[in-house]
Amino acid sequence: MSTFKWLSSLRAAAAALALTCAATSHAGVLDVPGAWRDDNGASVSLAQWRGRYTVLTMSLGACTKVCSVTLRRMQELQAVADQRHLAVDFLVISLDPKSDTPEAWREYRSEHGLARGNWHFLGGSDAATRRVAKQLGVSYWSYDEHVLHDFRIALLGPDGAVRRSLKWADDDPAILFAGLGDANEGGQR
Amino acid sequence: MSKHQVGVTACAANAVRLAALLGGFAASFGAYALTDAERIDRLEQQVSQLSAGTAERSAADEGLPLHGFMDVDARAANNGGLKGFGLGNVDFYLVPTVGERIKGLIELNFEVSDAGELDTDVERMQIGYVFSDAWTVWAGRYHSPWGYWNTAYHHGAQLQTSITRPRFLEFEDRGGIIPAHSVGLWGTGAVRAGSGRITYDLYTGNSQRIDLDAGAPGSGVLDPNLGSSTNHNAMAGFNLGYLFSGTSDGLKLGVHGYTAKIDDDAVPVDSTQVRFLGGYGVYLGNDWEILAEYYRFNNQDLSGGSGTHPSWAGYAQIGKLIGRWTPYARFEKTILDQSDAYFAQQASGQSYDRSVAGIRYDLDPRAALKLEANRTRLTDRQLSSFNELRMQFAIRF
Repeated sequence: MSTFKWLSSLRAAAAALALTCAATSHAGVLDVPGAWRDDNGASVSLAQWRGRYTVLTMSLGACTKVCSVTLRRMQELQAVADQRHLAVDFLVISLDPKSDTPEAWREYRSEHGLARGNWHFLGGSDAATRRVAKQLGVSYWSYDEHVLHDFRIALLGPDGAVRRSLKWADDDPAILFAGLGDANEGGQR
Repeated sequence: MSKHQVGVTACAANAVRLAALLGGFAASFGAYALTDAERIDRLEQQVSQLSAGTAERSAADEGLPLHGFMDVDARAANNGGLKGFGLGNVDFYLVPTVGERIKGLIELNFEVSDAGELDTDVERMQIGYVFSDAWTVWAGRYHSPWGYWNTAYHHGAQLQTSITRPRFLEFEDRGGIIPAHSVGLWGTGAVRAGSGRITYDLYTGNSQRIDLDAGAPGSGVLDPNLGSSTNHNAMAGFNLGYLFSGTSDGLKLGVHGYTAKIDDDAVPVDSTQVRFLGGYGVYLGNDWEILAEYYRFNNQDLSGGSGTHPSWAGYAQIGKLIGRWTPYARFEKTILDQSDAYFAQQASGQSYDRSVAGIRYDLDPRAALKLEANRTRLTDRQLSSFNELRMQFAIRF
């Protein structure tokens, strides 16, 4: 084998592997496999949120502190989206899928007046939940009956990639939608 | 460079190294017969296998996570008490699991006493067997599941809204007058009932004892009898609660009781059959935190023959989450019979009332700053009153 041919093969292999790595690194939250159930008890896949803008958070029904702030922020974001005519879905993934059954999520929605059709509350397996949390950068752990967790609200683009995140200290939730045109592409209400 | 960019760059660099290595091997062992497309397919397969392997790793494969709480405090008092900065607690906990049904809980606490000495405690060391979601039995040292506060906040200063626990519910080495720790067996669980859930706890173990400071009357501190039942007595208790759902979601009501024969080390020994029944109501919802607990004692003197001694203790606390701020207030009061050796022999066994007001600011879900003022009146034994101002910076990790 000539030196030239060997180098050529090597370059091709390196390029292919680098591309594969880049693709793997870009694998987003919506690429996480697993069976999820929504609050209607229907089996759903995260991939079905591809092609639209989605505000995603991880939460649990029993949390009255961090999740209370999260929910309020999400509602403020909905108001901003309405004002700017942005078509955005709101996705809440449970950090405690054992307790947040479809029935429990339905009750939660009803108590908190979250009846809009573009809001979705999901629960999955422990492994799938852990993977989404890892992708999103949310740490969570149990301390007796408490599930202690971080605050994170992310805006996913139509490609499933995280466009922007809202942090605990951010006072203006509207920054999550910064740069989005009023008639954003993709998405349905 | 973002974390993501760093990851991609590192990955690409590794890819080049791997490709060089593979290229070298291919050249050395005659794999040159493969086409570029075949080589790429093989590499992709290997990368995909590596990715799948990483994703499938369970939490258990990643080692045993160590979490905990930590707080630093400052305070001032107008009665000549402690002033200035002080270390609070650093509390570590581990939750090992053995298979699907056996689990453990280890909580190690390092705290600085009022005398400035470092105290180390295995606050909890328990091994449990999970029979079902509705039934777990623990053995070891656990937090006595009476009332609400003691098993809701444990040692997590960052978890509880206020800086202080109600004085009568403090841990034993901080002046608590009810055994906060027990050594023995504890069965606990929850079952669905109607639209809500019934929670229950049944526990038994070594009776606690009161250790006097060099035999001085009224200097005692409760001891959970960690090593064995030194007084050969058993204690027992229960807690039955109901968690509402629907329009009353966040509301929990419960009743609980405890009985134990508790001796001190005075000469002659004071022996008391301690008995209390209590109730609690808690509402955590719609940004409100409302807690109330009541304990009714009916202790019987077993050594002096002075009969039974009724006493009571209670508190109510209210807080409201407003943005990242939580203003709160609490009132607590005890009427403890000083002819009851159980209270009379404890250093903190005098009656008191305390008014508390404070504000908490959550810098982060894991970090809180708190400012709290309280006024305490000691209403028997030695009448006095004092004011305190406290600050706390508490985190969890």
